[in-house]
Amino acid sequence: MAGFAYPSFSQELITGKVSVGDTALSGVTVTVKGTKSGTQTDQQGNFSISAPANSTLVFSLIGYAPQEVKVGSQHQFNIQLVASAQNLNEVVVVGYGTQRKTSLTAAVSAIKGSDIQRQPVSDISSALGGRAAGVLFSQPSGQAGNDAATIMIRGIGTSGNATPLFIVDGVQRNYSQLNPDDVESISILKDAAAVAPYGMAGANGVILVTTKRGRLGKPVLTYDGYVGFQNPTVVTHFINSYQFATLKNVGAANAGATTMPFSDADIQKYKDHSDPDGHPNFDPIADMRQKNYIQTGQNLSINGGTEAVRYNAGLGFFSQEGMFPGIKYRRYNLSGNMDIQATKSTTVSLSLNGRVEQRNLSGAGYNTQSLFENLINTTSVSTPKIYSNGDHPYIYASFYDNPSYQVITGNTMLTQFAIDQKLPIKGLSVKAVVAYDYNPVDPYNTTNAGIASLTRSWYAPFSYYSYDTLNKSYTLFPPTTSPSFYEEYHQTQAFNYQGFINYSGNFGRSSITGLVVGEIRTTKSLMFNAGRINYNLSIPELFAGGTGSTDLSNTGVSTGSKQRSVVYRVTYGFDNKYLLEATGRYDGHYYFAPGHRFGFFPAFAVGWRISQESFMSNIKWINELKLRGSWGQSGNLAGGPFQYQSGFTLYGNSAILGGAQTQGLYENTEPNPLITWEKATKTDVGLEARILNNMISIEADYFHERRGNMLLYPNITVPAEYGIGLAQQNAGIMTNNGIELAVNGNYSVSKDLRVTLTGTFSYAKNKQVQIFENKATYDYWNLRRTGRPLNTQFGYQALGYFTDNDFQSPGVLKSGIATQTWSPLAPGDIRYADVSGPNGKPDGTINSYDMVPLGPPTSPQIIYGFAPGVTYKGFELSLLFQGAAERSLQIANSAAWAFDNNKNAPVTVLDYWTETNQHAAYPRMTTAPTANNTQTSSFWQKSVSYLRLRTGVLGYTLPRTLTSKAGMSYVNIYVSGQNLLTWTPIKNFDPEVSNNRGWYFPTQKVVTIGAKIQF
Amino acid sequence: MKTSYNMKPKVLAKLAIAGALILSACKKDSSLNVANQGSVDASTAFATANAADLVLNDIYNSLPDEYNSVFDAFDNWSDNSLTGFNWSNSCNQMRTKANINSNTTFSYDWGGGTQKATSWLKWDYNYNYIRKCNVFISNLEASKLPDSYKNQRLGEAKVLRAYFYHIIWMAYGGGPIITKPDNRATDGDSIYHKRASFDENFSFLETELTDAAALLPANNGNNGAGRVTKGAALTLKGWVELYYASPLNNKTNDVSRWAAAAATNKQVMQLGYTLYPKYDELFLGTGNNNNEGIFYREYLGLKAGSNIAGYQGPGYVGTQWLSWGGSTPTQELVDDYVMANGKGINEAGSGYDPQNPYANREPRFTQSILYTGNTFNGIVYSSAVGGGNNAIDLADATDNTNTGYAMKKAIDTTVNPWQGGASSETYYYFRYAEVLLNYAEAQNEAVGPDASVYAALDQVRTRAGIPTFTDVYPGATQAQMRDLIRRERRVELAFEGKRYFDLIRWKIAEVNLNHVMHGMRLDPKAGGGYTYTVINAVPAGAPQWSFDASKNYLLPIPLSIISQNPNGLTQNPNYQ
Repeated sequence: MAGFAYPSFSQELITGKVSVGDTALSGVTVTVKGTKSGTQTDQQGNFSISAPANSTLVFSLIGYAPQEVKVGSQHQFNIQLVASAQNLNEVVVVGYGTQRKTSLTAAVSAIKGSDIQRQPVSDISSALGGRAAGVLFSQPSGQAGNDAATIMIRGIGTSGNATPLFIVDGVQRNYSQLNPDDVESISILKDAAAVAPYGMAGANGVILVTTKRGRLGKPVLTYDGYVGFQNPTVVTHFINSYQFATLKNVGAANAGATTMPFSDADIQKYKDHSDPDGHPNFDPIADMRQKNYIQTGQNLSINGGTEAVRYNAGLGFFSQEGMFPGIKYRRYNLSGNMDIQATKSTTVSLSLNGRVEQRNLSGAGYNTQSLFENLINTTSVSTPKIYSNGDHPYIYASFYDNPSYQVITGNTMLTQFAIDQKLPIKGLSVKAVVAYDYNPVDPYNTTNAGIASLTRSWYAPFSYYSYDTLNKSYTLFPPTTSPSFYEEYHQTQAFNYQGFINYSGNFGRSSITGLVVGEIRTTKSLMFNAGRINYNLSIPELFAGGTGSTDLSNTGVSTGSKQRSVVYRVTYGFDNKYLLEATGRYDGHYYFAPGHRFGFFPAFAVGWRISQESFMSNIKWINELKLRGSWGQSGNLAGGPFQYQSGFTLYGNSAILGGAQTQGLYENTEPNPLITWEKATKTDVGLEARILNNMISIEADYFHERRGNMLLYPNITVPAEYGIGLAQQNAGIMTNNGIELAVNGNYSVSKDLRVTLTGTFSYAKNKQVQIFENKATYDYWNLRRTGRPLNTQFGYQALGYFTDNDFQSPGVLKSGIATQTWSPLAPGDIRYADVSGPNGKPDGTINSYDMVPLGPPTSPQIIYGFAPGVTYKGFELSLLFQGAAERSLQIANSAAWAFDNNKNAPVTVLDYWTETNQHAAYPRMTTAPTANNTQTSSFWQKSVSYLRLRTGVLGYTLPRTLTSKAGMSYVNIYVSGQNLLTWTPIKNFDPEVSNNRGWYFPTQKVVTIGAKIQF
Repeated sequence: MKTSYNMKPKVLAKLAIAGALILSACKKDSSLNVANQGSVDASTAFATANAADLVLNDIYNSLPDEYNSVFDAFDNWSDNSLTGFNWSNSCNQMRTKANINSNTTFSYDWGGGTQKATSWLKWDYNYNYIRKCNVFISNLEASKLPDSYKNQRLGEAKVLRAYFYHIIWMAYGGGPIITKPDNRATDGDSIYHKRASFDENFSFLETELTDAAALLPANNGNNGAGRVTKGAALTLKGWVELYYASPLNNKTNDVSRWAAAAATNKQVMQLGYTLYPKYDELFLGTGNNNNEGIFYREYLGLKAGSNIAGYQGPGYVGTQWLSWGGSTPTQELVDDYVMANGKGINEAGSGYDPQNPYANREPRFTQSILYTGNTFNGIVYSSAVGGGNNAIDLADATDNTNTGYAMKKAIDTTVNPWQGGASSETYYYFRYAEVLLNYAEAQNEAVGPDASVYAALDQVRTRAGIPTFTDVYPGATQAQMRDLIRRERRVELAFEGKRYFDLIRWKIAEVNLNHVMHGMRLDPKAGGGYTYTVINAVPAGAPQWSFDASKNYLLPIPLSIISQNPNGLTQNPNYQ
């Protein structure tokens, strides 16, 4: 009897071609209805499949209406698909499962892997800007291998840790260094209904990355590779030595000095470059940076499958040279997975995803800050790039002759085994997932992005020349100290166990799904390091270092984490029109005291597909209209573990006593035994529509979040004499509101010409409702933090410059003008507004009562993107413009002022105030920035909004007639670029500037040429 | 279809049961236990002497770390030195004390860490350290450790606590006296302590240090180097008594206060300390572990070294950049170094030549100050106009000296801070030479310049290699002796962080800190040699020294700290 249930009718070979108009469609899934049997069309749209004669073939492809044909006696089919955004089967990856887009009631944005694969970025996070609504994005550094973007989902909802949770293939893992070519899709979970399954880790939103898996069909071998050149978007320039000397003298003269820092003869030499060694000219970043440094990505993958086994495997190589010598990033990704239909009701899945990465940092500065600090602190008058006799001065030697380095190697292996068993009850299945990850995250690596399994640091002195201006001689300075060497090892192991019960069933007009997942996650981490100093030989190995007891150092520590949880989701749909969903998690975490470890995080959502109502049937231009809403709670682990415990913490580098370094024990901050997670209450209302024959789809959301239990340090609640800090308390409240809009349009002008346009817009603004605030700020409205966005910058309101008319005698302001006492005043100094005083009224003096909020915070409140695309025959042009607004930064020090710290001046100071240049961009010139002019004020608060052409791709697919002769099914060649054009009000710096002194790597402009070839 | 519909309740029931099972399995809190590595509870920390010592080590580590002052050495608060640059906030605040108000956020240094520059003056840091002492003392007393151990460590902790209290007392005029760790859960409002008076703070310090001295050994041996001894307890006590007897705080000139200070310092002089024979070497690693150091902080090369060379040394050694030049001596200090014959430069018969001012000066001058013609690391230093890398910086264009001088004392010439070098010289909170000077000053005020005053001062001069007070100034009056002691003290203890509180307690800060500071400009003369001109070392536009006698003798308590204990703390006079 069983044999009849799975009849073995004679199989026929069916072939054919799928097209839309005249264009062949590749990647169309062709399945035999009611079976697992299927294949995909190749690049020419051709397919072949074995199917019983009386069966039905189903042709489906995202973006097209599925089509069914009866096989009958016909063995050759030419199928025409109809473009349709309305694909009932389009699924979206959500927490612990997938849902059909049409029945989704949560706010989830999806990004296709193919969208990010054309962007030449090392880090997936930096490809997400402008791609999805609700992703607030900033890229603080353009350093090779350390250029991850900061992603905030729906803005910042807390003063604590506000980073979203990262999930790769259902397990908590860092995603950003995955091979972009391995990514099938990325889902951004935003509202309570979407994040509730992640319980106390979900409140900041969740990024779910799903990697590619095998598809039915014959093996498709794909090569995709590009090579390109990088340059900074902006090279920050500093004044040249002639300007330096001249402006120093102007400053000295302004101060009434009679002795000028630079003589006329000096200035002449700076001007005519007649003495390049004694009177050099140096522009630190421009002179020392590399140009057109190479970036390349090379990928090879194979994908295919039979009814029994589907497989996907890929090998990727990525390499990126840095802006300065010695800075480099390389990565190898290896992935492989298999889905095996073990029995007719059992599927076994295996996944491996590994990578080896290496970040090289320059001996000129092991971190961004020190590198740029050293560089920018080298003034234009201090040194040439190279002496005229070819000798290397210190700054050049420190970049180009420096044998020091830091090499950070990351080794990651993500492994996963899953077995899915259908149960005899229709619609019911169970699944077990075991994942073992080696270094999925690195809890000890706080200074560099990514995984640092092994860090090797070699600090070696180098020789350089110095020029003696008196004797006009070059002196060699050989190394005076011995090298030192450090090795540090980090390891994290994560053990994940998940057990699923899945149910789905239809009962009349009702459809029900149910999901219960039990999850256990345990991690173990350790780190140790060892160092040696006093190397006699330059052998960077531990054994070769000095052997005296003070030459050796080593230390180590280990830690762990535990989490146990149960997740559920129940959905009910009536008539495919009214949708209900309840979801949540019961979550336990080791961070908290026994008795306070478990919490419950429920969420509810409803949806109404208005377009399914009969009264809508006459409105033809609306194809789909859905209103959805959600409410729920989620948590956030904003602080750290063990804040509930009292005790003493041991450290190793305490006082020197008796000539030896001792250990120390210090009292921990006062514990808070009641400490718990932050609790977010989220509300979301969304509207989804497809109109004009599915040409345009729109998704709009309004959200409101109230973050309670926000962790704050309550030190203000005890006297300073209490003498010890208090652990965080769940005392803060913050709200976060915003809107999101995503629009997607596509239009076929003719059979050859198709245009697409997608756009996203995200706005989020937070407000501190309840925080600890001292009386000094709370009592004065202008200074009050409560009620304002997090990280609001306060400062004085600049009114412009003082003029001669403001002074009754040199240095003495006329009566009636509020006094400013930071430093002696002169015309051309910044004048501030007398806003208030101790009695709430202007008091004739500028002091802290006159501070006011200055501009929006440093993280953008608005992110938007729009991506137009055109395809014409084999040509394709796609662009992504991305912008940020409502963001400002208080620039200072070397980024803003002349001769700060006795160092350089950015070129922006050249437009300085004089009697004849009263509308200058910079105050009067001084030999050092005056205290008056360097106050935090609206003067230095710069808008750092921007719009940039983030990505542009121009591709051409070679005609098949040509490529097939060479045995290739698909050949596409393309040029692409990243960060090609930028519009911004800030000068001399990249608008994504993340350090107000300019100590950061600017975003890189990358231009590449590449090809994708399939066999 | 029908059958599966009927299955539904069962399915849901099964799901519910499965869920409940997992829930109950998870509900166990203990399944989430993770060890908190590196942290121990109080009973473990005080179970053994070895463990308890670690808590005390941490308190020693909280003592001022003056050899890692990033820019501004504490002597820059005084008239001894200034930075080679005029841009840093901390330097501006130090100079323009009249501008300090209760809203001032002190930029104690660039980095702002707890162990940098003059952050040891901060109110809240000192109360953090006081709590550490209180925690140690109360736990130690409650522990079952042997009394012999307890007593010595108790003595050490009491001295350390008194040290932190005496900073609060000198800088702010005293704060609340807290001798046990507060616990807000059990102590209620009593954690809001009231500020004790200046006199109450003094009495507390005197009693505590007397008690501690009785508990402590005279000598800890070499393994205890860096630990507090009986000598440290008595020296701190003698200093506190001297501070209490000094004009600022002794308005009626109660001679018994001077006598008390003299007596305590005399007690230290009977403990067997001796002056280290070489003054310059005393401040370098080679002079460590001597019999002059009484209370000091040790440094350990690359592991936990002193970075004073990079922060406070001369700008260049030859053509190699060494230092940020955070400490350049003033002409005012230079003028107080005496001649080799022991006489002050303005005294009759001194032989001082203003156009050859560095000739025939005392050895400590050459050992402490880098002037044009002196050598550093074998290289001749020159700050003459046009004189190369270290040329005087008249317009404040660079970090170079604005005074024509650089600091030499305590700068280890063998390290290169720009290639990771750090040195190991000891920083002295108190050394025996100061005890001798303290004694001489107190005894001179109490009874006049008796033979014991001369004897104490002569020891200091003899070690310095200068004719003694007995030889040079026989029969000085009390007032003459007072001035001589003050000059000797300034020179002997230059760059050791002593000058500022001396100016305060002598009540002369309004005089000495309210004028321009001077330097020496050397212009090369045709045919060799220089023209020497005393100049204003602070360029136009840079902040000049200002000291408001109506308020600056005490620092303001920051408003934010008062606002945390508004009923307990009162602001010092004339600070808004």
